[in-house]
Parts: sequence; structure tokens; C-alpha cells
Amino acid sequence: MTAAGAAAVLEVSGLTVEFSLGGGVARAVDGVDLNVRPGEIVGMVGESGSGKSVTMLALLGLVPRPGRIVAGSVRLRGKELRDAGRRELASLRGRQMALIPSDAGAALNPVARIGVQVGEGLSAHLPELPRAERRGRILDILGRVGLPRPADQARRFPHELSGGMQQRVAVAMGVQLGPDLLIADEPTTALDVTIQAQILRLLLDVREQSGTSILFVTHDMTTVAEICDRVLVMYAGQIVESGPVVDVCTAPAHPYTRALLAAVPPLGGEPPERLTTIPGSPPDPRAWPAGCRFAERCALRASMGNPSECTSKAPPLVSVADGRRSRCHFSEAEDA
Amino acid sequence: MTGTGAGTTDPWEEGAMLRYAIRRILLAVPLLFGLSVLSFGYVRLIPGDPITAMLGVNSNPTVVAQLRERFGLDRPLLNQYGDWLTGMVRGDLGVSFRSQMPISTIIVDRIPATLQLAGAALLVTLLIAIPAGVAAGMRPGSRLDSMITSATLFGLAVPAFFLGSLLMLLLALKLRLVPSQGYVPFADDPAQSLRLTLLPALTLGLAISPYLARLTRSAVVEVAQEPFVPFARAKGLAQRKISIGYVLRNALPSLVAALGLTIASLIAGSIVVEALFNWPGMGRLVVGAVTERDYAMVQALVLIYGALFIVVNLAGELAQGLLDPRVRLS
Amino acid sequence: MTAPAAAILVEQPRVAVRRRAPLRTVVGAALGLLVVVTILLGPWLVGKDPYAINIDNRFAGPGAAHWLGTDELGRDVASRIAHGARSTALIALGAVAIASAIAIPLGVLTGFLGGWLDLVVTRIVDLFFAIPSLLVAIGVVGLFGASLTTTVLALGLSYWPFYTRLVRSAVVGIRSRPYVDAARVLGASRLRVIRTDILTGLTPLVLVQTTVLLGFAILDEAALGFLGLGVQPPQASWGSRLAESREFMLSHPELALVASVPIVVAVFAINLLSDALRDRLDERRVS
Repeated sequence: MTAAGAAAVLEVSGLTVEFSLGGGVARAVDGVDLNVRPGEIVGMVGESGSGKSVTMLALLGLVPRPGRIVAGSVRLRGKELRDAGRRELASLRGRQMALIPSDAGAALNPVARIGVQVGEGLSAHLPELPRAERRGRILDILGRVGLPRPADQARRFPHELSGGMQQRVAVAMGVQLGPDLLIADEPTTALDVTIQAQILRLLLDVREQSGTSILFVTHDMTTVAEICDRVLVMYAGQIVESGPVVDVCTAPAHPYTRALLAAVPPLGGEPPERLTTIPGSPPDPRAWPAGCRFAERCALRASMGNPSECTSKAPPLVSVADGRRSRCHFSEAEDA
Repeated sequence: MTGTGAGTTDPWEEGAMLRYAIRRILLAVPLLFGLSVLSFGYVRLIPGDPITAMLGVNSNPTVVAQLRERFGLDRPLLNQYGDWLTGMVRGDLGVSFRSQMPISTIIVDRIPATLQLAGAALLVTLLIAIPAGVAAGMRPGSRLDSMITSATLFGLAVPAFFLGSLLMLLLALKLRLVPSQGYVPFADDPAQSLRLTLLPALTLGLAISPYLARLTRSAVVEVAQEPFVPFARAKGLAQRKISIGYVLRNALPSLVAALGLTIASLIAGSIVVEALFNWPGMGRLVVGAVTERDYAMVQALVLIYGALFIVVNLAGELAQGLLDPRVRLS
Repeated sequence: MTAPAAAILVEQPRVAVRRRAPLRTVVGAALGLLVVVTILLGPWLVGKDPYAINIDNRFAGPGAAHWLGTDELGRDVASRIAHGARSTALIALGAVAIASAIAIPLGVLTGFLGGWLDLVVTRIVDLFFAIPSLLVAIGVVGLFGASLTTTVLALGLSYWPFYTRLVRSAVVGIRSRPYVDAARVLGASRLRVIRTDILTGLTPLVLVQTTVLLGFAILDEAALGFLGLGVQPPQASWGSRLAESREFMLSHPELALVASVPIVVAVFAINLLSDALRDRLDERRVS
């Protein structure tokens, strides 16, 4: 399905976002390259503070003040979004690229009925659509995302729906105009496990039926392994590893990815005595360290006797195997 | 959290609003009752005896005794309260200690003037404070926000009588655009009545605006931080639609609550503004009654002001319920 | 909740957004200093008797002899304002002290203990809330007659309901924090919890509220004075000065304007400072 060579839906290169805060400048996203091919599900993984959410907002042109994109390019179907005006961007959002929020309960307008909210996207992008037809499409999409009795649900307020149903409504809003790219922002974190599985299934169905590409933003490696084709691992504003999900999960090249995977309880099996956590915290984005940004917390570096390269030279993102890249001076080094 | 019962959405909904309204109204009843006790107790709190306090220590004891009997002050407290309560329900607030006229008649006479002033002032406030508060709250930390915030901090420091004197001096005495003082009932001469209302209403409205602007700003700031605002942007909705349909619409319930507080400040402010512009409303009546120690009148006015405020708040709460489906359930 | 808006809060480095002292704070501090100097040194600096009447020299304009001119009785206006500042400051501090003396213990007890006491006090507070605070103050003046002492009492009594409600809800908030529960589970006595956790937690609120109320008290003293229900002329205060000048509103409006300026300056300074204080304390709570 990852038809190699097909024109990418989304191409991002050198994306850099800075926040100017009381005198200091925090570079939250630092030279991110990524692309998403048609029908592909790409996972973007990282802890909070890794820059994954800011990257996602930058793609949508929604970086909040005082942040701004200072460099790089974002192309959607070949069109440069950084050159697009406010109006043009708004017309792309929701139609060509859509967001599925993490907590639909908080992202839906609490005082508007479900049907009205779903209809807003339609009237914003297809204003000429006749009323009756709009109503038909609202009920149709609500039914397609698995809401029982769509006509009843459309009259309800968000707080009258369960969390899973709210999330289905959010998915409906995302897919109703058949976007090329869906950006899913941790769409399952607020839900319990069985509902999570249902929503993931729903996203896979959407991809199956419409060939929609999905950028799946999460902190959870398990979810990535379940539904993604490729994965990007972010740390301290940069991509530190990328590659096909199976390869990355079975043989991680970057020590940070390894640490993330070690923090995941094994599926189905007995949970281990204790889960490994990554000691320490990410560096201050107002003053990134000169060398490797993960050096402070790196188990590999410690096991190798703290080579000076780690703190003196910033490692580049280099190809380590077919379709795989890693940002480590010692990507090929054996696990200690 | 709620029933997902089959197709019962609408009837269930209306039931919730009705139940909410009944609960709110029932909660106001003990408050009104407490108010009647408070205003009744007020006159009995007076050190010594209200008639002696009014006429002075050297007053003729027989006259005092006569008046006490006339106003029923010599009867047991419980009976007095019973009379006060039954009278109140029938709209009879007793007679003035001073003029010996029925208090209800005097107050009813004054209410139109106060309502005219308060209503016009409210209009001024809404026109100034809501746009200012929304503009500041939409972009917190911006230059515009900083300017508006500074202006409200200054405005809060400007007393109504200072503002009123300034406006009177400028608009009435120097530019001679409007008459400086006076009141004509609206029914007698609408045009002149409105001309005379302009200056006091502008004064009161401007004086109250900083409060409402600040309340509006914080309500808007709070809503603008909610996740549904960026999500609305991500859906590609136009900024206008987001500002009105999302931010303002969700801030509206808090704004209605803020309006209750604003009306309270308006009532307090009207006492001062009525004095400044010789406006014959309830505020003048209160000050006159306190100065003349007409305790029956003070007692009745405390009751009327309190009841007015309880009713305004109740209306605000009911409007909140209508505007926010979540409030109805709480 | 990690939707975009919330995410940006988490992802943003936790640094104080405002570090430099904003212009507002500097202006507030400068004006505040001016007011304090007026209260402490004003009468001495002006060096005139605020009660010396000179009918031949009434309504004199400002000049070297009388910095701010003379009033309707030929008294020195600058001196009356400087001496009046002391009465007004005394009233404001006294009123805030009375309100605090009622509100803080009552709010702490009801918020901490809950139960029937809480219910009763909350109902009474609700009841007083139904009456505008200026009207409560006017009512108290009606009971005891207008004077400086009554003004202190009247303002103090008109602020307690609002202040009690504020303290109570803050205490309820602090009580539900995990460390307070922990302290109680570990066997700390109620008194100890109140003394250490609750009172420490309340300090920022009380600091901000005290300054805010000082501003209100100055405005309300003036309003009562203006209505003739505050400090009675000829005794000097900012409020009584307004009462005196009000009679000459149409013929000599400048008297009322000059009498109002110190009130505006003092309250503006207090508003700026309390706003800065609130920002400062909020910031500390975040970090």
C-alpha cells in the first residue's frame, strides 16, 4: 500500500518553529523533514515536549502566538502552505487536511447540537449545498462512523454522548469532506481500551474505503505498532529515528527509541516486575545542548563510557538501512 | 453520564429546563423571606426607640407614645412582623414616619425615574463594555488588551460623581449641548425627558463600564483557551464564525451572570448619580430617608432594593440555563 | 486533555512569560508613593491650618499663598486635602480591618468545618449579597448617625459578606488539596492544619484582597461623604470635602474636580499595584 514512487500527499522539509518568550527564544521544532504517501498511516511518536504537537499545529497553520514558523516548507499535494493566505489556508483545513482531536469531549462546542456542528464544516466548504442534501450528508456520515440512530444523535448535545461516541463524531467531522490527509492527535488517549480498539478500527476502515493518508500523533508505541505503516520518533524538536514500523519496533536503531520500547508493557503477556522508565527529562528548548540532545539520558552512551563525541558534535540524521534513518553517532553499535 | 434512551432527547430536554427553573425559583423564596426578616429587624436594631431617634431626645413623651401606637411599635414583636409580612404580600409597606403617607405610593412614584436612568445607563454600558471586553479577551497579552486593561484600571478609580461633574461641566455648562439637571416624566414630554436622561445615564453607564469590561474579558479569555476553539479553526471555519459562534456563544452564560453583578453596581451607582443630577428616583429617597431618620421608609427601601436584586439574579440564572445545556443538569 | 490548545500549554517550556516590571507597576508604585507621602508628610509640607476661615478670601485661585486655592469659606484647599488624606486613610484601613476580622475567621471556620455552621453562614452571606454594599453602608449610617466612626463601621460591615464568601471558597479549595488530606491522615490536629496549611495558602489571597478593598473603601468613603452621610463637615476628609464642594457645583465646579483628583490618583495606584501583585502571585503558583 505504500506505493513507492507515488507523489507524496504531504512533504515537509526543514520545518522550524520558534516561540519568543520573555526575552528567550525556544525552538520547539528544529528542522523536521517528513512525508506521507497516499493511503499511508505514519506514526509520529514522542514524549510531551518533544515538539510533535507543535509540528502538527504547524502543518495546519495553527501555531499559536507567540510561536511562528521561521523556516522550512510544508507542501500538501505539491502546494506550498507557507505561501497560502489566511483565507486559502482556512479553505484547505477541514477539506484537504483535517484534524481529529485527542479529547473530542473538550473539542466539540458544548452548546451546539451534534448535527449543527457536523454541518458547520459542510456549510463552510460547500456553501451552495441545498439544506436537505446537507442534512442527508450529516446523517449519512454519522451513520458511517458507527453512531446508532444518527437522527437522534444529531439532536443531542456533546455532553449527552459517551466518550467513544464523541470521538466517533470527531472522526465524522474529520472525514466528511474526503480529505487527502487526516491528522490524528492522540485520538484514543481519553478512551478506555475496548473503545480505543474500536476507534483505531474505524480509522483503518476510513483508510481502506477512501485511501486517506493519516498522520498519527501519539506518545504510545503500542498504538503505533497496531496501525501505522511507518513511524517517526521525535525528541527535543527533532526526528531521531524513522522507518517502517515492524523494523523500528523489532530492531530500534536509536537509543531513545529503544528506551521508549522498553517502557511498553508486553502485549498479552504477564507485565514485567517493573517497567523501565527513562530517567531524567528533556533539555530546555531555549538552549539546546551543542552535541546530541539525548546524551544526558542515554543508556548507550553510559555503557560506552561516555564518548566525548556525544556532547561535542550534533549527530546528523543518517540512513542506517533501506528506508531507515537514525540520529546517533553509534546507531550500529551493539546494544549494551 | 446521561441516558442514551431511545429517541427521548427532546421531551427529556425540556423537562430538564423546567426542573432547573423550578429549583432556582424555590431557592429564591427563602432568600426573599430572609430579606423580609432582615428589613424588619433593621428598625428594631435602632438603639433605643425609632420614634425618639427620629424626633430627638428632647421630644415630648406623649407625642412619642402616640406615634408609637400609631405605627404599631408598642405591640409584641411577632405581631408586628406578622403585620409587616401580610402587608408586604398585599403590597402595603406601611406609612412613612415623616410624611405619614403610604410608603408604597411614594416608592411607586419614584420607580419609573430610577428604571429610566438604570435602563439607559445599562444600554451605555453594554455598548462600551462588551465590545471592549471582547476585543481585549480575544487576544490576551496583545497591545490592544494592555491598553484596554489599563483603561479599565483607571476607570475603576474614577468615582461616578467626579465623572458626572466633569461631564456636566463640559457638555452642559461649557458646550451647552444638554441641560445640566432636572427630570421630566417620559409620558409628559418624551423628547425633553430623553435629553435630560442623557447626562446622568452617560455618567452612570461610563462609571459601571470598567466592571463589565473586566468581567467580559475574563469570560472571553477563559473560553478562548478551550480546546474547541483551535479545533474549530482546524475545521476551516472562518474567524468571524469562530468569534461569534464559538467564543462569544460559550462566554454568553458567564456574561449573563456578569450582567447580574453589573446591575447591582448600577443600583448602587444610581444612588450617587441621582444625588448629583437631582434625579427624583429611589436613590434620592434612600438618602433623604436616612438623613431624616424615616426608618419605616429605609426599611421598605432595603426590602425593595433587595427584592429587585434577587429577581434580577434569578432572571440571570434562568437565562444561563437556557443558554447552556450543561447548566440545566447541575 | 491534550487537544491542540492544551497540548501547547504542556509543550511550551515552563518559563515566566512576563519578567520585566511592566510600565503599569512602575506607574502604580510612583503614584502610590505620592499618596503615602501626602498622608505622612502632607500636612507638614503644606503648613497651613485646614480649619482657618477667611471669608474675604473665598474661592481664590491657586497661587503661591494657596497652592490649590481656597474654598467657599476661604480655607486652604491643599491643607484640607492633606489633612483629609489622613482621615480617609484611617477610615479605609479601619474598614478593611473590620471586614478582615469578620471575614477571615468566619470564612476559615465555615470552609474548613462545613456542616450546619457553614450552611447557616452561607445563607446569611447570600442574603447580604442581595443588598448592594453601598446600601448596607447607608443602612448602618442610618442606625448610628453620620460620623467618622460610623463610616469605618459602615464600610467594614458592607464588605464582610463578599470577603467571607471569597475566603470560604479559597479554604474549601485548599482543604481538598492532597497535602492537607495527608497531614490530617498523619494525625495533625485541626488547629495545626488550619495554622500551617490553610493560613499559608490563604496569604496571597488576603494580600491581594486587602489592597483591592482599600481602593473600594476610599471610593465608598468619598461616595458616603458626597451623599452627606460620611464624615461631616467641617471635619476634613476626602469625602467631606466633596460634600462641601457639591453645593457650589454649578457656580464653582473646579472645587469638586480638585477634591476628586486625589481620590482618583490613590485608587488608580491601588488598582495598578493590586493587579501587579495578583500577577506576581499567580506566576509563583504556576512555577
